[in-house]
Amino acid sequence: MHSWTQRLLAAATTAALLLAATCAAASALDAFHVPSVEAQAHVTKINQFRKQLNGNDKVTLTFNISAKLESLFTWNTKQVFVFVTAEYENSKNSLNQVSLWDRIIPDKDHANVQVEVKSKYPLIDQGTSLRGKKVQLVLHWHIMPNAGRMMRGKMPLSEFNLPDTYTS
Amino acid sequence: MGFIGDQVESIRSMQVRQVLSQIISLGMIVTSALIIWKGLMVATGSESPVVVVLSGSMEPGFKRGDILFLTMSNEPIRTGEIVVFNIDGREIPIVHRVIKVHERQESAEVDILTKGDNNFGDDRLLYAQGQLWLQKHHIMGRAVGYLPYVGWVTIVMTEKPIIKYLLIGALGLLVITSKE
Amino acid sequence: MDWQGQKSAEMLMQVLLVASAVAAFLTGYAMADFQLMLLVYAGGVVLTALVTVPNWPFFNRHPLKWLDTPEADRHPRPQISSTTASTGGKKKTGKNK
Repeated sequence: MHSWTQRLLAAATTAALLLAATCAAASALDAFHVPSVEAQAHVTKINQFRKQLNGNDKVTLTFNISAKLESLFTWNTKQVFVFVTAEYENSKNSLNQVSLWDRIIPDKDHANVQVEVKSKYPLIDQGTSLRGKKVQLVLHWHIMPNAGRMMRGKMPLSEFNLPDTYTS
Repeated sequence: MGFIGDQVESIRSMQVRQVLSQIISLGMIVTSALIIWKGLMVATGSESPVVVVLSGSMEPGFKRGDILFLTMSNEPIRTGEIVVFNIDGREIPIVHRVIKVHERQESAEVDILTKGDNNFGDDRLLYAQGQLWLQKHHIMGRAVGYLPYVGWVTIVMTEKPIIKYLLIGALGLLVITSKE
Repeated sequence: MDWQGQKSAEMLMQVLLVASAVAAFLTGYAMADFQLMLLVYAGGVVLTALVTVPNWPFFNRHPLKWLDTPEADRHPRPQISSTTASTGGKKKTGKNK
């Protein structure tokens, strides 16, 4: 009963198990990786600030970002999803997190981000609390591995004040 | 004659035993798979701890056929996370990224908006008619782990049922015919 | 494949697979290349399959030594028979030869 099919099956099973173990080990090593991100962002212009027809405040703005994200990459990194949120508190919500801009970074060569962009998604409030509001810009990243655990991190950037009145 | 009768009897009883033991080992395989699945459910707190990515809406991160491991922790949901959610009236759950979070001051309620990395706009078009936000009860799990390609097995099996039956038949045959 | 061959095949399979996994991990880590790790490992698995799956001659170096037929004839297996006398007779003749 020691046929070649049996040996093939045994070899395949062991190989698959070991592959899983190797991937787990590679992913576990990433847990010890401490990235050092340097980043800045500043709002350069409030393009439009008005009340939508449905009664919510809506802001579109322009800001510049400079971020050095090379240190996020390890050998088990498939891509890094990086994005900037506007975060603030108001009487209704203890936390409002609104994405303004995001980008997928496929490899280390593209990890140095220096751009001035219009907000890809508008900053829309749940209500009308944005006049004169102080808003925090936060850089977030989400690291997708080749195999294993996904990791997230964030870094607060600059704050900015919205004007007291609507534009236009 | 008694001698031959004894032999036949012993062979027959052997076969009955063998068939029985093979049925038991088949049952062991099925139940151990069930144990692993249910154990994962308990450990992760998610009703489906492993999901297969079925669409390309999260490319290039997740491709069709990749699998995700989900948990259901009590930690608050934040932007950037990848969640699996169920929309009322939709059968297949969706795996997308959270891009907006509004967390209430008093209650633990939270409004979430999602978007596929590869999609142009956010998910409001996918939600139920008139639905603007996802609530906590829509969320089935939060992706924590990732393995590429493994899910192709299930995709092939659900789309080509013949292969599934062939595979099950071959496995059953292997278990029943193998001795020891 | 003989008994010794089966044992060594199993040993070889496990040792080779573990070794290729370790080697793949180390090269992958050293070169910081996940794909390279997978390639090295795939190579190791193929090598292992080539070495341990087919019934190579070196797995058959310890053939079982069966008793040769005349020797076996001289020591027949005791058989249940209706006449005990004949069994005794057979034994005697066997010993006398």
